[in-house]
Amino acid sequence: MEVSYESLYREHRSWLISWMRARLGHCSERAADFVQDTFLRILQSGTVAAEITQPKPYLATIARGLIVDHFRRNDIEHAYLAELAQIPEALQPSPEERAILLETLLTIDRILDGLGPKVRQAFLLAQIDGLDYATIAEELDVSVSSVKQYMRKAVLQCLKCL
Amino acid sequence: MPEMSVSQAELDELHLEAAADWFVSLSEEGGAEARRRWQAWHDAAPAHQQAWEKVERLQSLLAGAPLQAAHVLRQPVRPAQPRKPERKSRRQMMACMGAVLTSTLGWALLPTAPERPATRWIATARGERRSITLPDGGRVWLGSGTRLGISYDAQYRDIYLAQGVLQLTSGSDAQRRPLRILSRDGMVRPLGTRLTVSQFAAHTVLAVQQHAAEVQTRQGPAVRLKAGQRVRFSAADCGRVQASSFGDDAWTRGLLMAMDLPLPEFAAQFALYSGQVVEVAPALASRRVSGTYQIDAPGRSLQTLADVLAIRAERTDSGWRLRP
Repeated sequence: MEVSYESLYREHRSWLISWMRARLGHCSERAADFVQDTFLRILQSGTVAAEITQPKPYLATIARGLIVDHFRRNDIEHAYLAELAQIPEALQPSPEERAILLETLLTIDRILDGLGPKVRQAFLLAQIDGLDYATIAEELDVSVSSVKQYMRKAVLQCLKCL
Repeated sequence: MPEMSVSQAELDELHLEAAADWFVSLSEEGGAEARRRWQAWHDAAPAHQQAWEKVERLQSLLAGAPLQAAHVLRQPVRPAQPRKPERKSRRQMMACMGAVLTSTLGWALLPTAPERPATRWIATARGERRSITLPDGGRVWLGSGTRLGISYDAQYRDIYLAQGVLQLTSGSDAQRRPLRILSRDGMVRPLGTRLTVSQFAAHTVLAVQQHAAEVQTRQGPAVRLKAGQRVRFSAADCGRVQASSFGDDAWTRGLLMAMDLPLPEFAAQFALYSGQVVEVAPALASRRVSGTYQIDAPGRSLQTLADVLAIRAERTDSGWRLRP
């Protein structure tokens, strides 16, 4: 039987909406948006619908990723706004700048994803705050050679993602 | 190890490892000697240069990060794991986070941040157009290549226009929170309205189709517009209020209407609304355009324009060029 993208959408959309509602709890009114995005992502990925042998687990995997991304984005945006709230009005970035800065934060967050907390911190302290390795070693309570190890690991992962 | 046995992917990985090592040792000791040794490695093979380009990409990404980045990103925000239905705990956690933040920073410093709902960002691709409904029942049309954020909080209904064009038909808010459009060049306050805001490379145009609106540039006094008026403003100043040409919102219907427009101005508008790059040869700068053009069929429209003006429309790598 020919499985087209349309039939995938038609047959599984309402199932995916209920799946999504159950997981979104108080955000359930956004379920339809997430479902739309899920199908959009599949379409954009160029996956051949006929090759999807188990549609439900497949859709659920993509949808789960979207929800995680969404909450992560929210968390970072919240943290950034809280930081901005401490800056005087005159130094606030414009809405456009703010949007670009937020995107940059999200990109950096994405390429650091999966690294351990110390590796992540060492990288940020060195590359964003400009601290030298000895200071970072002290801050993280590790040896300077560990800091170098962390840096190498973090940088390599970043290069692979870029 | 004989080279034949190493796959391309493995080789790429080795070069990336070398680039990462160089990056780490150069950030540690950036002396002339270290630079010289790095340069020798860099110049030795095209594959080294390719790997180093990624380092440069990383550097420019980091250079664009806000000062707060290290702090904001320090904690892996939350483990990337599927969330089981204990949804409520997350909400409680956010509430706790808000409480912690407010207690550490004090209300005065942090009036709205913890309760502020996340901004919802919406973007259109080049050449795409779509309309969305706002939480207050209002409607926004997004033109080609537009990115906007919707952030309704306890005090304001804010719409951030990061880039592109929008048409807003405002809704009504039971809480009577002021509606604001925040853009690069200034803030627009719609007053029960339908209006368009178009953000060009160096200026923004506000045109009011119904009722009234006020624009406040980043520096300078507020200017009020009635239906049928338009104004061109930049961050520094606001131009004279003019009668709005009938076509300011034609793009929402897929059209660009021009009434005796200089060709470069027409090209800038066509580019913004259609998402195409349109260059105009300097020799044609004084030519003028009138007529209605379809932005969804850019090739055909520009060919028609070329026929009417007896000029040539050529494809370029990035879009179109109009020349004598």
